[in-house]
Parts: sequence; structure tokens; C-alpha cells
Amino acid sequence: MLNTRLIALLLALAPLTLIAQELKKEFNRSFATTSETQLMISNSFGEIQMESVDGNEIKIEAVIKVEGNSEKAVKEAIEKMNIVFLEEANRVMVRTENKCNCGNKIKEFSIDYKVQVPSGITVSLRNSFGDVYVQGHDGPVKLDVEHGDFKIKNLSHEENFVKLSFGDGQASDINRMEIRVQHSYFNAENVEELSAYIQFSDVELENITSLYRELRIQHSDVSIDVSGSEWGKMMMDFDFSDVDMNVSSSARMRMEVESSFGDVSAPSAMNVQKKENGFNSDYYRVSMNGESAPISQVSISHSDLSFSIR
Amino acid sequence: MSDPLEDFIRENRASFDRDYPPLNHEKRFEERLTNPKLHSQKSDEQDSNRGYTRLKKVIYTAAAAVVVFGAVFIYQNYNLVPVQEKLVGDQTMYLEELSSEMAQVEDYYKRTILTRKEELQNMPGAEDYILKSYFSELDELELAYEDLSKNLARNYSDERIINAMIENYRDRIEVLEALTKQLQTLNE
Repeated sequence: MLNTRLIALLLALAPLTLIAQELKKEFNRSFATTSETQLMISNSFGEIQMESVDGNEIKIEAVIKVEGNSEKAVKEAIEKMNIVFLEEANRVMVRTENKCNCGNKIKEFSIDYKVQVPSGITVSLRNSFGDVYVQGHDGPVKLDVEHGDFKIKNLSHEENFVKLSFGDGQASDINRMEIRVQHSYFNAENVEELSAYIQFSDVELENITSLYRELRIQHSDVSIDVSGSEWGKMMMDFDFSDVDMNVSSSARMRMEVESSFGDVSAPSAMNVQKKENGFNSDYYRVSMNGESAPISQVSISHSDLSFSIR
Repeated sequence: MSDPLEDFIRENRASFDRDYPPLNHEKRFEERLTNPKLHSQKSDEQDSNRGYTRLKKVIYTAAAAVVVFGAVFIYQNYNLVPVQEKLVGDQTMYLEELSSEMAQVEDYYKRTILTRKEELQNMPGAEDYILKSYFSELDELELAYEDLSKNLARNYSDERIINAMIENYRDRIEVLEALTKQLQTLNE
């Protein structure tokens, strides 16, 4: 009876010995900067959190964390993961190196960065299988996020570039930004100037003061709310997409639209002239508040462009 | 006052006396009463038997502990999970190689994509340029899937990669759904 009880107790306690083993490797580095300094970080399987601070120093805290059932496997895995720091001329390059062919020997791992940078420097962040957060930066920001999400806020420079694939993105209070989005959901609000190339995505752009250069939308549903009055000359190309464009009642704009298997609809406050150009092909002239505004060229194929007044 | 049960037993004594004591038991009983040494010898033997039983219990328990903890140690350190080791480099690993459930998932998506592609090719209005516009994206997604399968070969218990691969199939189906919708609109 006694040994039966003991065996039962041992069996009950056995899973406790399976409690995950966890090992961490921490990196703390700092680099002096000038106004010309560029920071580049390339990472996979973890988060990058970046914030801007006063001063002339980049501070990077990175943690590699590996979890598994076997201490031996966890040790072997973490030894094969590393972060490489390289300082060269005006560039600080940081790269995650992962040489672990871990198979199924470990349960999970992550490589996370917390970065503090002087507000004016150029920053380029590349991350896959993890999220990126950037807040309050005055220098140019270049972001490339794949299989992860991002959130950016308060970017005041005129050159910001964001590429997002297979993830969710959120941007707010941005000065000028070029976006390239595919197979994603993207939402932006309060952007001064925006240029976009969107494929196979759902995109909502709210309170965009103006659009610049190009707006290319393919196989996507996009709604754009443009609050500014002045429309510059630009190129728009919509393929197999539904585009809703909400414009200011004071907008000064002119568009020449070539449409194939597409429709343009607009409220009566806008002046729309339509001319048939052949089978399922139409030519539109859309204008609002003055004939002197720059003319934007718009091409529509298998798409609907619908205007509304905000 | 007499007990009815006792009375009944006394009256039917013959039918209760079916077993007989072993031969000379009375003699042995008397000997034990008159010679206490004999009694204590027996007692020692019983004590020794009890001690042996306890020792056996301890040994069994210890053996069980060795087996249980040994099994846990082997599981932890030698990873007896039935997935083949992959030679890594440009090696790929697909969902179907992970488990029978994943094989079913992958098979379902592959068959769905194939069937829908065939259906779409036969739909009215399915002109080449329209099909190409969507099918070229399917090719892109297949390339992205191959990249993911290389990642999976290196780390095949990573849920982030597995989810991305499943998501890739969903994206392909979404592309085909968008094409279906497009062709239906054209045919209206």
C-alpha cells in the first residue's frame, strides 16, 4: 500500500521535472553619434522597440531568450544565436545571427531589441516574424516588416519609408511617408504627405493632408480621406480594386481618368465629364474648385473609384 | 436470558463443525503455553519477515523512481519525438511532414486551390490577362511559401513559421476568391 502511494506520488511529480528550461543572453552596447550617423538593425523572430531621446548616443539592449525541455538543447541553441555589432564610418550596423538548426529540440526562442537613439539620426529597421514599434523620431525612418506588425507614431522627417508584408501596420502623426504594403492590413492617420503602393491589402488612410508622387493600388480595398485643399500633380493607378476617396469641400483638384472596365462616381459638387472611349472604356475629367489646379493622371482597370466630400 | 443465536449454534453444532484442526494441535498448544522461548522464537521470525517486506517495498519504490526519472531524463535529453532530423542548407520542410493533422490541413488547402483554379479557368469571362493578374500573385505566394519551408526545416516546432505557412495558403485562397468575385462582376 505504502509503495503504491509513493509510486503514484512520484508519477504525479514527474511532470514537474519537465518544466521548461530557459536561458538568456543579454547584450548592452552604446555608440557615440553625429548628425550623420545611420543606424541599421536587421532582426528576425523578435521585437524591435525604438524610442528617441536627447543626447548623442545610441543605446541598444538586446536579449536572446531560448526555452526548451532540455538544458543541453537550450544551451546548444543559445550558443548558436548571436548579435553582431559593427561600426563603420557613420554607420552602426546591428545584425541578428541565427545559426541554430534547432529542429524541434527547443520550444521557443526570441531575439528582442530595445533601442534608444538620438532623435535626428537616420534609422533603418528590418524585422521578420516580430513586431516593430517606433515613436517620436525626427530623422528619416526606413522600416521593412515581414510576417509581423508595426506601430509608428510622431515621425517628423520628410523622408520616411515603410514596407509591410503579411502583417498589420498602424501609423499616426507622420510628416511625409512612402508606403509599400502587400497582403496586409494598414491604417494611417494624420499624415501630411503620403505616397503609396498597395497590393492585395485592406488599407484605411485617414486625415491625409495631401497625396504626392504616386498612388498605385492593385487587388485591394482602400479608403483615403484627404483633408488638404491643394492637390499636386501625381499619378494614380488602380487595378482590380475598390477605392473610396473622401476629399475636402475646399479641394482644388483636377484629374484625367482613363478607365477600362471601371466606374467613377462623384457627388454633384464635383464636376465630372464622361466620354466613351470604346467598348468598356471611358475617359473622365474630374475637377473641383477651379480649373487651374495641376492635372493628375489616373488609370483605372477593373476598379471602382468613388469620390465623396468630407 | 439466553441468546437465540447462541442457542441455534449449540443445537446445530454438528453442521458447523465441518473443519478439523491439524493432528497434535492440542499438544503443540500446551507446549507453547509451558515453554515461552518457543513463542519468542516465532515472534522473531515474524519480525524478520515484516522487515524483509518493508525492504522489498523500499526497493520497489526506488526502482519505480529510477524508471520514472530515467524516462523523463531520456525524453529531455534525447528528444524521442518521431520527426526526422533534416539536413539543413537549402532543405525545405512542408507542413505535411510535421504531423498527420498538418498533412490533412496541407492536403485540404492544396486540393482547394487546385480545384478553384480549374473552376476559374473555365468561368465565362476568364480572359488570360485577368487570370494572369491573379495567378502571377499565386506564383509569388508559392515562392514566399518555399522561403518559409526553408525556415521551417531549421526550426520545425516554431509556431510563428507554421502560422505564416497556413496564412500563406489562406492568402492564396483569398486571391482566388477575389478573382471569383471579379469574374462574377464581369458576368453580371
